[in-house]
Amino acid sequence: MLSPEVVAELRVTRPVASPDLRERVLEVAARERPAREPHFSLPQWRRLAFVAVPVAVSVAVGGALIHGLASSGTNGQKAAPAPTLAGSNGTAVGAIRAPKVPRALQLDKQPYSAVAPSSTRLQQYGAFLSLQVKDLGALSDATKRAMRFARDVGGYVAYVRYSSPNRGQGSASLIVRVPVDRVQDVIEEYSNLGTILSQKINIVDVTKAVEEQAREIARLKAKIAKIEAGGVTVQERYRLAELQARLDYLTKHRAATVRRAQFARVALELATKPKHRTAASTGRFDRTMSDAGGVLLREAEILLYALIVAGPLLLLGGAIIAAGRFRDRRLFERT
Amino acid sequence: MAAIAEQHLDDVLAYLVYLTADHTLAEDLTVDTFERALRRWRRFDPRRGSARAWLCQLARSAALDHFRSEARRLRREDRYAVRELREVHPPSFGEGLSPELEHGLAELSRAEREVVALRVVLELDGETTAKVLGISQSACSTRLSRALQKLEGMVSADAVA
Repeated sequence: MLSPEVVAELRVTRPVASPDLRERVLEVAARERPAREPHFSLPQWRRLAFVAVPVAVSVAVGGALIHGLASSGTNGQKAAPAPTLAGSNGTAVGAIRAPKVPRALQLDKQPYSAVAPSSTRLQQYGAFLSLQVKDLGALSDATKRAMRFARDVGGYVAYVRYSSPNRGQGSASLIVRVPVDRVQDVIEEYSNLGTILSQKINIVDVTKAVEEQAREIARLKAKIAKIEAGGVTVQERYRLAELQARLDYLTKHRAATVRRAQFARVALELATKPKHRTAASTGRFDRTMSDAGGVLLREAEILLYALIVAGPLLLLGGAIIAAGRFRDRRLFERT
Repeated sequence: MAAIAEQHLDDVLAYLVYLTADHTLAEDLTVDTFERALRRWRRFDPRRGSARAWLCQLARSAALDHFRSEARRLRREDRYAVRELREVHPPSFGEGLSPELEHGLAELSRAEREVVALRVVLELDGETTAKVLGISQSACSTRLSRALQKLEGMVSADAVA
């Protein structure tokens, strides 16, 4: 440490402003202050960073949470598109396909309106329904209920398959034939068995074909009657047998066509909810957190991308600043 | 502003004289310092430090700008070999200083002289001095200790001689 004498000497002999300098400085200080800073600058940038960084983080996290809340919905189900009409699918009358039906239809117990068969024409009516049920118990109940209802309306079960190969997972397939005038009741009843995943209806008009067959049968009967009335010769016996065989075939074929037009074919596919769907339909909080996490991840990706792009420039700027500081330090190391 | 200038003019000048070792240059930089203070007066926040410390920071900034331009000028002159034409002023730190002390101060670096000026001559505290210099308090203490030791050694050696 310095001796007190040296310290005192330094303080006593400290430089004092000359009257000329004092006058110059006071002249400067007496000037009117400018209303505004002449140049743009970043005052107190550290203080600004203390505010800006938390605000940016809050905006990022808040935005992610709001997005998560908005997209998670209230009942765990996202809105499905309304049923749409598709074009003709190779059928005589047409086909209606309803890939997805809003669950609200099921929850509100509103009947799903199927296309009604014609009461004046012969039509082969086919319907396909794919439903999702809650679990194996619901699958069993729905299968039994579908079979029972088909019988109750005067129909029958043509095919049934029930399987539950995985624990908690299962499916069932049914094909029932029901009177065509009750097919709408059947479809409505089946649509209440679970969540409709898809639905398809085919209608083939066979009126003209049946009428053609009837005319052909009448012609054959007339020919056979004519041959039998004139006495059957040996040469005509073979021709008569041929006509009889053709008549039998057409009669049976017509009867089958009419019978098919009287009974609609309804195919029903039932399946339990897949496991991943069960995991996905967790609480709203989990969904919100999951969505918010996704948004945050996306934001982190954007930030990383920006850093990769701006990184070299930032490094260059840092190097320039460091070099400037080093140069300033050297300036102060001189005597 | 005028009152503050009147109150701290001698402090600013003393600091700049010790920093530059040139009384004439220190006077010019003092005027420049108060010009800067007038321009930046709206930025001055008394809660963040005293007016004296703020003026010392501005004085240091003015001196740094001068040193930079001077370094550029010297490099330019070196390039065109006009070194011999340079005007060299002998260091002067104040009237009445003993030759030993004057010599000792002249031997110190600018960084060492400014810490002596702030801590010993202006009697600023360690925290304010560190803030003016833009370094930590421990670094400031180390620099002051080294400067005083060096100054004491040179003053003693000159006295013996």
